Amino acid sequence: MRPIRLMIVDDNQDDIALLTESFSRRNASLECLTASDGMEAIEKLRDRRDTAPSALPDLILLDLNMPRMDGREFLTVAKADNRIGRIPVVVLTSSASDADVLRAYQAHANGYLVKPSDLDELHQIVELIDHYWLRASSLPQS
Amino acid sequence: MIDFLRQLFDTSDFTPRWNCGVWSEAHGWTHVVADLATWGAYAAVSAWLVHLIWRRQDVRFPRTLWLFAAFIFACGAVHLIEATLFWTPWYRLSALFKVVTALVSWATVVALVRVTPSVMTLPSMAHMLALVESSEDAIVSLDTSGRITTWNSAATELFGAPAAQAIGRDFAELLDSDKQAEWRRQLEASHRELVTAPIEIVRGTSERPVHLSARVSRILDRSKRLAGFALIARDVTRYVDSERRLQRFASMLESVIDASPTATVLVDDTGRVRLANSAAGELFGGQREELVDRSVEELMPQAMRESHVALRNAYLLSPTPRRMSGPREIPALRLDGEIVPTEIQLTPVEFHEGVAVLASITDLRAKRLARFEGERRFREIADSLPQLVWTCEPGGACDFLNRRWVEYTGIPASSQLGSAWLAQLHPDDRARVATEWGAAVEAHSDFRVEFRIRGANGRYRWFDTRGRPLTDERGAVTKWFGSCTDIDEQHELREKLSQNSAIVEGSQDAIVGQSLDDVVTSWNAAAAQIYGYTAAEIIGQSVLKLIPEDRREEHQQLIVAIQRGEKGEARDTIRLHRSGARIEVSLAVSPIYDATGAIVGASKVARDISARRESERRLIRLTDELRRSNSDLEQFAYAASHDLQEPLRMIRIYLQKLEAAVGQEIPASSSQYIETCVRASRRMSSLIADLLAYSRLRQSNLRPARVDLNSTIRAVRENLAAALEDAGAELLHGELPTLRGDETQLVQLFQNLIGNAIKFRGKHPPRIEVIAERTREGFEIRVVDNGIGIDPAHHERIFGVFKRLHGAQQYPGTGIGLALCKLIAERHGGSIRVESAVGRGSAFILDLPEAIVEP
Repeated sequence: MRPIRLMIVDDNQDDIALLTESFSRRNASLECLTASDGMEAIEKLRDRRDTAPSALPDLILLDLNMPRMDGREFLTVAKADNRIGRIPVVVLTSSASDADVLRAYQAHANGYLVKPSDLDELHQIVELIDHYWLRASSLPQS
Repeated sequence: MIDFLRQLFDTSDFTPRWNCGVWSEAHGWTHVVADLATWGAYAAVSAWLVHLIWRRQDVRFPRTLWLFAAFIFACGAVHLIEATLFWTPWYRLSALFKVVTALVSWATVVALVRVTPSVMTLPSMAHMLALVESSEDAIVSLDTSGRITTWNSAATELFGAPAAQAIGRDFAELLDSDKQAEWRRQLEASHRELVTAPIEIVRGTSERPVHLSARVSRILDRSKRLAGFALIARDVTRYVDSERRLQRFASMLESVIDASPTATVLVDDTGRVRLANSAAGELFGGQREELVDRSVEELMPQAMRESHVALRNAYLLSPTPRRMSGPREIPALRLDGEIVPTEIQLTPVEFHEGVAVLASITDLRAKRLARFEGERRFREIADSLPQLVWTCEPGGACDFLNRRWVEYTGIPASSQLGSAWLAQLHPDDRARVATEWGAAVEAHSDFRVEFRIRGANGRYRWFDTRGRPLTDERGAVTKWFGSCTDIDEQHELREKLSQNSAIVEGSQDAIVGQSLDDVVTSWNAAAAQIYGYTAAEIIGQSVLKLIPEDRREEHQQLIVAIQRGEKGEARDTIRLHRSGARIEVSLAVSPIYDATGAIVGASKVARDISARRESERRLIRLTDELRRSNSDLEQFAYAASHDLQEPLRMIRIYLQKLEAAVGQEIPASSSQYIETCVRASRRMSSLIADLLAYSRLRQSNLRPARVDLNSTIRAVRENLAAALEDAGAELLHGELPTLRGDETQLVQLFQNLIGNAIKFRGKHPPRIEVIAERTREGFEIRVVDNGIGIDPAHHERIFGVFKRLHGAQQYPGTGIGLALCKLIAERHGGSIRVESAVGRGSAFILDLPEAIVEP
C-alpha cells in the first residue's frame, strides 16, 4: 500500500507545523507536502505531474489568504488542469464569511472548513479530515 | 298886479248907470233883461258847440269850431257885464271884456277865412251817397257788432237783398253757414287790423257760382275807438276763372317738370323756391313740397350762403342759360344735413311775377358712385362688411359711414358726417388723427393711423384705419375710401407683448426664437451675453451656427418634436459660443404658434450651466473619493480583523499545547496564568469577530424582501430557545406587520434586543413583549422588558461600538450588540432609541419605514 500524500498550502508556517504534527501523530504513513503560497504549490504540483505523476498528493488543504497567489486563484489554475484538477481540495481558512465559502465552491473546492480556534478544535478537525478524506473516501487513483 | 286888479274892480270914479242920466224903471230894466237874455242864449250856443265837438269825434274843422264857441261865449259875457253896470259901475272891467271879445272875434274871422277852401271842397252827403250808390262793389257799413247800417244798391244786387231788408240785420246771416265761422274770425281780426285779408264768398247757383271777394276795414273815431266796419265786396268770378286756368297751366308745367328725372327747382328773383320736382325732393332727402317756399340758400351749406346771395343778384342782372360748374362741384345741403356734391344748370324763365330761374341739379355723388357698380350696391357691400367703412369728399369731409359704424358708435350717420366723426374718437387721439388726416388730404397720400373709437357702450376700442384717395382720369381726387378694422385685441396683445419682451430682455437665460427652418427670429440680451452674437448679427442667420456638429441630430429631433406640438423637457446639451468655445447649457424648447394656432417656430430658453456642471463634476469626484475611501476603510477593517485573528489563534492553541505538554510539571498558580492568557486571547478574538461582523454588515448590501415580523420573532425564539428556557423567560408578541427589509439583519436586530433582555434580567423571570403600532411613515416596534433598566444618562452611549455599562464578568459580551442594532435600523431607513430607568425595565423603540429608504 503506497503512502497517503497530503499537501498543505498555507503562508502561516505555524499552522503548517501544527497540522503536519497532528496528522503525523494520527497517521504514521502520511506523507506531507507543503507550499507557502498558491504559486509555489502550483509549481510543485506541475513538477510532480511532469516527472512523477504517481507522487502527486491525494488531498490538498488550502488556505485562502496568501501572498503571490491566493487560494481562490490557485483553485482556478489547479482545477483547470486535467491531471491536477482531479485532486480534491479542502479549503481550510480562518474566514467564516459566506462570501468566501460561496466563492470557494464556485471555484470547485471540494470542501470548506474553518481553521480551529483552539487546541480541542484542532484535534477534532484533523480527526475529521483523516477519517473522512483519508480513510473513508475513495479518491481517484493516479 | 294887485293894484291893477284893485283898479280894475274900482268903481269909485263912476256912478252906477241908474244914477247916470235919467232912467225910467221900464227903460232901465228893458236894458238889463235884454242883456241877460242875450248872455243866456250866447252861453247856450257855445255850450252846444262844445258838446258837439266833444261828442262827434269825427267832426271836421274842430279848431275853427272851438274858436267859434269861444267867440260866442265872449259876446255873451259882454252882455252880462252890461247888465251889471246899472248897479256896479266897473267900466274898466267892461272895457277889458270888450277888448277880449274883439280879439276872439277877429281870430275867428281869420280862422274862417283859412278853412273856407277846405269847406268849399267838402263833398256833400248827396255826393257821397251817389258815389256809394254808383259803385259796382257792394259797400256796406256795419256797427261794432256786425249789424248792417248802410247798404248800397250794388250790395242789393250781389247779396240779393234790398236795403230795407238788409239794414239792421247781422251781416253773417247773409252768408252760408260754412262761411259764418270764417266771417266771425275775420271780424274778430278786424278789431286789430286795419284791413283784413280778403274773404272769399260764393253766392249764386252751383252752375253759375258768383265769387265775391270781401275785405273788411275798421272805422275808428277821433280817439281811435272802434266805431264800426266798412265792408266792400267785389264780384271776382271772372278773376277766379282765369286764375283757375292759370293754375291748371302751372300744375301742368309742374307735372312736366316733376316728370323730369333731373332734380329741378324753380327759384324766383327773391331767391325763394317756388317749385321743386320729385327728383329734387329725392336729392334733398324730403318731399318736394318741403322744398317749396324755402330760401334757395337753405339748400346749401352755411359757408356759401352769404356769397350766394350776391352771386344770385348778379346773375339776375343778365340772366342767361348757364352751367354752374367749376373745378369743384357745388355742395348741396340735404334736409338731413348730409352734403351732396352737385352740378347745376341754370335756365332763366320769365313768369308773371318777374324772372325766375330753373335750376337743374345733377347729383354727382350718384354719378360717381355709379362707377362703383352704383351707390346702393356700394353701400350694401359697405354695410355688410365687419369693418367700419367710410367715404369722404375730396376736401376731407366725411359723406358716408356704413351700418357697422353706426351700430358700433350707436349714433346716426347723419350726425357724424363732415368732421363730426372726430367726436367719437378718444380725446387723446383726436388732435393727432385730425392732423394726420389733414396732411393726407393735402398730400393726396394714403392715410393710415391707429386710434380709439368710442362704442355705443361707452368703451373705446382700437382701430387700424386706412384711407385711400380715388382719382379720376385727370388725377384729381374724387373720393376718399377708408375702413377701420378693430384691432383692440391685437393692440392689447401688443401691449402685453411689449411687457413680455421686457421680461424676455431682462431674463438671465438666453431666449431665442427660431423658425422651423432654423432661422433665428428673436434674440434677447442674455442670448447675446451667452453666445457672443448681437441680435443684429444673428437674426436671420441659421441657428446651426450655435449648434456643434455632434448635437445637430439632437437638434433635428427637437424640431421634429416641436412640429408635433411637443414641449421638450429641459435637457442639458452643448452650444457653441461665437469664439467656438463649447458652452454647457440647460435647454428648454417650446413651440411658437401663430394666430391660427399653427406651429411656426420654436422658442428656446438656454441657461449657461457650465459653472453648475463644473460643481456637479466636483461633487461626483468627491463622492467617488469618499466612496473609495469608505470602501478602503471597510476592506482595511475586514482584513485587519481577519489578520488579527490568526496570531491570536496561534497564541491560544500553542498556549494550550504548552499546558498540555507541561501541565503536570508546573505549579497550579502558573497554570492559572496560562488560563488567563487563553481567556484574554479568546476575548480578543470575540472583539475582533464582532468588529468583523460590524464591518461586514456595513460592507454588505441590503437584500430587501417582504419580511413578516411575526416569523422573524419566531426565528429569534428558535435561536434563543435554550437561553429563554434557562432564564425562564416569557416572550410575547402581538400581531406584527410585514415590511420590506433584509430578513437576516432583522433577525439579528431582534435577536440582539431580546438576547439583551434575557441577559440583563432582574430578580424576576424576564417578560419580554414585542408590540407594533402603525405610524405615518411605517411602524413603531417596541421591545419591552422588565429587566434591570438603564440610567437615562447612558441612553445615548449604549448604541456606540464596544460601549459597555457593566463588567464582562457580571454580564458577558463585547458591547457590539446595540451598535449593530442601530446600524441595522439605520440601514433600513429607520432609527432606534430607548426609554428606560434603572430598575424599571427598558423599552427599545424601533421606527421602521414600511419600505426601505436607502440612506
